[in-house]
Amino acid sequence: MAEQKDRLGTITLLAGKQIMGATALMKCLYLLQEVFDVPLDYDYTIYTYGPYCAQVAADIDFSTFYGYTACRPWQEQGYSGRDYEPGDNVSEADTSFAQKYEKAITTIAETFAVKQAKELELIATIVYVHVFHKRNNPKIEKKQIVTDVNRIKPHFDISHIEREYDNLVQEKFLR
Amino acid sequence: MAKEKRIRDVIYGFITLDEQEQEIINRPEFQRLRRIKQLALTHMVYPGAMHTRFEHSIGVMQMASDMFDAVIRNTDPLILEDCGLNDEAVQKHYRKTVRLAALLHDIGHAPFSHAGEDLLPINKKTGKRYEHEAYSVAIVRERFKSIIENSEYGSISTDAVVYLIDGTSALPTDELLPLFAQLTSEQLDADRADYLLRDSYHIGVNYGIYDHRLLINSLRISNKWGSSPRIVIDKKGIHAAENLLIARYQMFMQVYRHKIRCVYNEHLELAIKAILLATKENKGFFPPPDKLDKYLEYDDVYIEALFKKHGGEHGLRIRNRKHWRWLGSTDEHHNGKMVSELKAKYGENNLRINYDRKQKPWYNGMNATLVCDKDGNCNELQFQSELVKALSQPKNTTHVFLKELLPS
Repeated sequence: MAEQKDRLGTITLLAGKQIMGATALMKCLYLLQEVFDVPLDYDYTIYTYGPYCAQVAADIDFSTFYGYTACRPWQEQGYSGRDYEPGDNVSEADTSFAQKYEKAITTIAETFAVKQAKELELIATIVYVHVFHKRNNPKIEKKQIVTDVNRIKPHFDISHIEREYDNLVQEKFLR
Repeated sequence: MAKEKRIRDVIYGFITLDEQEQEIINRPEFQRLRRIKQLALTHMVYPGAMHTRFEHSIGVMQMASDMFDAVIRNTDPLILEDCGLNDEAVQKHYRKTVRLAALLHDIGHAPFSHAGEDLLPINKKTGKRYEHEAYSVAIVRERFKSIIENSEYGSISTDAVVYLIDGTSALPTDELLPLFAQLTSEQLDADRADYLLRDSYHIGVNYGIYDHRLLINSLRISNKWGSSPRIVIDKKGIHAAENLLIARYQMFMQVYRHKIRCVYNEHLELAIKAILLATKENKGFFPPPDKLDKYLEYDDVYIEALFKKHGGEHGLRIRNRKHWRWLGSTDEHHNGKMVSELKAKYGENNLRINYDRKQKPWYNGMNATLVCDKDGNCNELQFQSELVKALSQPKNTTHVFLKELLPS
């Protein structure tokens, strides 16, 4: 299981691969843990915008506080958010744990971090519901997962969820 | 009309309980909370800190429903309609779900609240230590399901209540439930909103007091942020939100991480461990959630009665208030300069280094509270308030104690 220094190192390495928003960082760490089995030891729950973990939020704050990452708030046309990128003290972060998973971190950054927040919300929610059910019922079927995702996130229609589910299966991101 | 009862409360004056809530409170599992102190041995520092999880749980229910009522009252009817919340029966259904989750959120606490949590056993499935929420969920499912689902407010789902208590144990039953989870698990949630006021009252300090009425009355739903609606603070309530965060900061630094409270948490853990070993309980750990009858036997009174007989050195230290000597505190990491110097001077084995094991800052900037103006323009609280921005640096305090021999 990862210690906090390992988790901060992972966040640092991930933010170094691709500048990303807070939501993307939250979701990418989830996918890193669940799809690529990186033992980050986070407990996610489904929240307003998909999988969320308060400890991840805390670790991102710590990595910014230590200067491993830098937070750039932005505001335009009534919208605001924050982007994360390498900070001034990036070289001080202990990335020895993260480097063991560098290939997975690169894949996550290149495949998922570049997606729109809403798309990531759907992908991460499908993975969450899939993992949640698999824990208790390894034979859970696509129909049940798609129905549950639609119930939690009705602003994504069934065909959209099915399409994204099939993509994830095809790319072997769902097991 | 169900038969209601009104009980007195130090924070809210009166709290009204319907028959279902009375039935829950009258169950032995809930009465056990009368025997679990809210702040463990904080009374070693602040003698008034004798209040329990029982009154806090009822208080959180009141705070959560006050917040819920304000959210509905203050939200534009068009947004309520857009969310499917304009129907009174639907509102009552969610209000009841939130009230039950708030009432039961601490039902699984170990003796001495958080101080006993390191003695919860490892979950063999996950390899991680159980947290008190796992016990709350097990108790709710096993002991309260029939009461929860027998409601005059339509079919309240046990899964919905479980989701609001511990989001990792159930999927949300619908789209709106994560919205109301904001009232039970955010920066300004009902739990924190209640315990700051209640702990301050009992301890006799003013740090934790904030204008909760203004804060509550500033809550409403906005649908202008992201893909789903969110509960936000109206701009008029920004100072009440600042006020609460300052209160949290002060309470965190001066009460929850007080050095003497922390050393007694260390003694407590060691004394309880000795008791569990002496009584041959689960190799020195509390029973797992699938042994609820046994687990529920443990409370503060049960453990305190055994301090003298089985608590060993640490039981005696607690009974006689003879704690380890404090050498210093630092904001550095627990391997920082001050700690290293003390290790060199006294020897590492003679020191007890107490750091915040949860590794969470007192304020989590990323789990942002949104503040919105009347036109729906929203931004995170810390980007609208210089005060919150200045206070929101993550801070952990490490205390170092010398493990001196107990004077005879």
